[in-house]
Amino acid sequence: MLAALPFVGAPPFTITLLTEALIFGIWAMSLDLLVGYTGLVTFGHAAAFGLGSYAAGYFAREVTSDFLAVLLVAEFVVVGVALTIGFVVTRVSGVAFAIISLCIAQVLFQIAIAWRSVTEGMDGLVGVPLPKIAGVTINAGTEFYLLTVLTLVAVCVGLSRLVDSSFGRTLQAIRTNEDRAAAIGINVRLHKWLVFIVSWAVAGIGGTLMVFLKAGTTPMSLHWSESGNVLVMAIFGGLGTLFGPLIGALAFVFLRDEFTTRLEAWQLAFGLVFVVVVLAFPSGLAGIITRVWRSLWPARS
Amino acid sequence: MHSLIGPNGAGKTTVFNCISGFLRPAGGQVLLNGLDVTAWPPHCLVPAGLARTFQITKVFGDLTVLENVALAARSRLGQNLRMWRRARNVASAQAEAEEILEMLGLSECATANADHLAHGDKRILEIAIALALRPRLLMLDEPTAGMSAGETERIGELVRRIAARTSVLLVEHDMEIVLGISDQVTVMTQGRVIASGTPDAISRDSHVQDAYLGAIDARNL
Amino acid sequence: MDVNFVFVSVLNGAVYGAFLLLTSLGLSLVFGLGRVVNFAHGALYALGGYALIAVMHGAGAGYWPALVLAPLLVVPVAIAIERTTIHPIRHRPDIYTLLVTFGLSFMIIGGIEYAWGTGTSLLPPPPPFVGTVDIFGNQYPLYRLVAAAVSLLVSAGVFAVIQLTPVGLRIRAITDDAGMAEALGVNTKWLLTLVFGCAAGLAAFAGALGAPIFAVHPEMGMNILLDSFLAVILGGLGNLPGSVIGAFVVALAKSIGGGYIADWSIAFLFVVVAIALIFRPTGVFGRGRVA
Repeated sequence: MLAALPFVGAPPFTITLLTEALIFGIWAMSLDLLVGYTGLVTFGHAAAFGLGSYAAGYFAREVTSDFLAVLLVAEFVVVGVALTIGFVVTRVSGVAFAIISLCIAQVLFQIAIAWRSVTEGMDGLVGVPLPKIAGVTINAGTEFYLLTVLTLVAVCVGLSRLVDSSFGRTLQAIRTNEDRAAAIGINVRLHKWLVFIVSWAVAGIGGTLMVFLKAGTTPMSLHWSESGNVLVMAIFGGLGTLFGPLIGALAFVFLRDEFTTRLEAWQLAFGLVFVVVVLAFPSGLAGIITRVWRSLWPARS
Repeated sequence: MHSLIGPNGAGKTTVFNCISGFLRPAGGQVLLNGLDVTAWPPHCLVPAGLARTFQITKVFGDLTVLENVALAARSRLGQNLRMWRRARNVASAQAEAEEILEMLGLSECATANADHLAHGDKRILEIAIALALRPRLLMLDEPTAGMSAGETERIGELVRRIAARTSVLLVEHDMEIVLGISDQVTVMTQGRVIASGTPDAISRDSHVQDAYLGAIDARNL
Repeated sequence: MDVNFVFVSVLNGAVYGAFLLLTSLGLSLVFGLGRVVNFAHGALYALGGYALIAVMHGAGAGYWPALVLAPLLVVPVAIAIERTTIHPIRHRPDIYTLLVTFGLSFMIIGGIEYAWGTGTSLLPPPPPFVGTVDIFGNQYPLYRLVAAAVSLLVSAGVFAVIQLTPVGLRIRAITDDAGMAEALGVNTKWLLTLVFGCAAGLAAFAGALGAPIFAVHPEMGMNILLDSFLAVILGGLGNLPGSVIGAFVVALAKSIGGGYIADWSIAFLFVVVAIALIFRPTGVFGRGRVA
């Protein structure tokens, strides 16, 4: 499981795009924890991301833009919310869970619009300064890109240990057969709660990075279409593979860029690609890549 | 070795579900080793020493056979919430799983996906998973359902061996097995117990014969 | 507390409830039959509204003929969708149909935006129901009452079909026990497609019927989709009578709450439903499937 360090030396626009893609990658991987590994489909994952953005952005602008401090505060907020909401929400599964997650995201969306004193409503939070580490400002472009890569690597390492651990295996057991899991002594409810919190926490990291990248955020970051986007990334890349969603995010960002600049009906084309992938390639890009890999190197049995 | 028998719809699986925490009984109590475990959720009963199999096979289809059993072992060892250590490094669980598979004759399929097993092997896997929990009471819900004669014998033998060391509560349809290996038999029909006693006494009980009218004959065909 | 204000709010709620009922019935039916959660339902609602406009402006037709035609145009589209994208994956876990319909929603809305732009169109109420009516001293738009009445009639029709016709009997059989129905010779495959098409027709009809009231824009279906989900969940998935109660509860809560706490009314509603679901996953007002 390599965390390939991408090279530097591409046009600035591509770097920004790549940074955005990697941040989305973090977000998509956090979603995979919930959907791919535990089987909890959510339509409201934008809530975790957007919340992270707002918390981080507000703190960075009002108090300090020290990266670690901001990250800590944002995580505190996100985890706090996830803890409380998660406790209630994990009582249900399946479709109910998906829809309640959507509801939660909608509520946060409404709050973001209405709580003008903090979030500045529909205009969004602007003027978020550049992040600093130990007093040194991280400039936009290559420097921030490297920061993102570092964070991504850290997240990847953490997540890959997590999914390979007993906890991770237990999650998969819950996804596969919940009754059986309970009959083995697994506290299903507790596990769901915990993975919910972890998933939101990781998404919050993504949200923090994003608000620095864009120097702000708007309520749209909490919109249901964003939740849809991250689902697309995860599914496109391949659920349950952890790195699939990362690839999916990369594909998504670059494809969307291509589509929006070339095609007028990009949403249509987009939906079409999504549908085709769900129908024909349930294991996503990662599945395709794995198949190609195996056919090229038919190794040990 | 206590068997619970009765015609279809007698309520045997319901009793199972009530005991193992999947259903809340409307009245009465469930006592495990003197401890009142009524309405405890399933996952709390496992540390108390209970393990069960399901009538409709429930194994972890996506996972390998070895992983199915190792999961149960790790759960017993209380490893479920460990987030950092790699699962396969819990050596004792892995070893245990391999041992159990060996004992049950499933070693060859250890790396196959549980979904790909033959029906009979899946039922045995269910038992393997339950064994990994080192229960004090093992509840088997129709372990021989849908099996061929040869497989049924194999299971019967297996259950006999297990019963030598662990308390077993067996729900079964196959009278031969039941009468052959049980110490105690309870007969249910239409949600009520109509007889309980040694296999000999039961097979002579006229109420039981009435309840099973036709059923036993069909079995012997 | 302004009595008139509350009264009008209740009326608005009742009107919206009638519409919500149409979409909710469709959702509930499709779920009850094939465990398909049709996320594209809102998009089909929007499609109905746009089909209406297309017929009216394109073919120069009047409102009422267009109202009948619009859903008829949408139904074949829905059937085509069902055959090509939903049916092949019915055997897969539920989330796949959920995801596919989600993608379809994007496609349909994208298609609408491409064909008609992203703007909002307002339609005047059709003659002869222009103008207002006096109810207890309040001036209330006549068309709203008419539209609500029509919705209720159509909904009643749906119930009649389900309860009284042979087709309805088969539908109820499948909802109850799909395997058994299949074994008894019910042609589940085509019935599922048919019901999907009809549910889409209902949604499209609602979209067209509501166009003069609620305005037409590409995302018009999303709010009603969400509300329909809430209504159906409250009433119990697959439980039709429950959907009736659910629809009106949601509509009234939104309408009355909206009067007092505007922006937050939706949030309030969501919270209420979320809580309701958590404590009664089979539906608060009915016994449906566990979601």
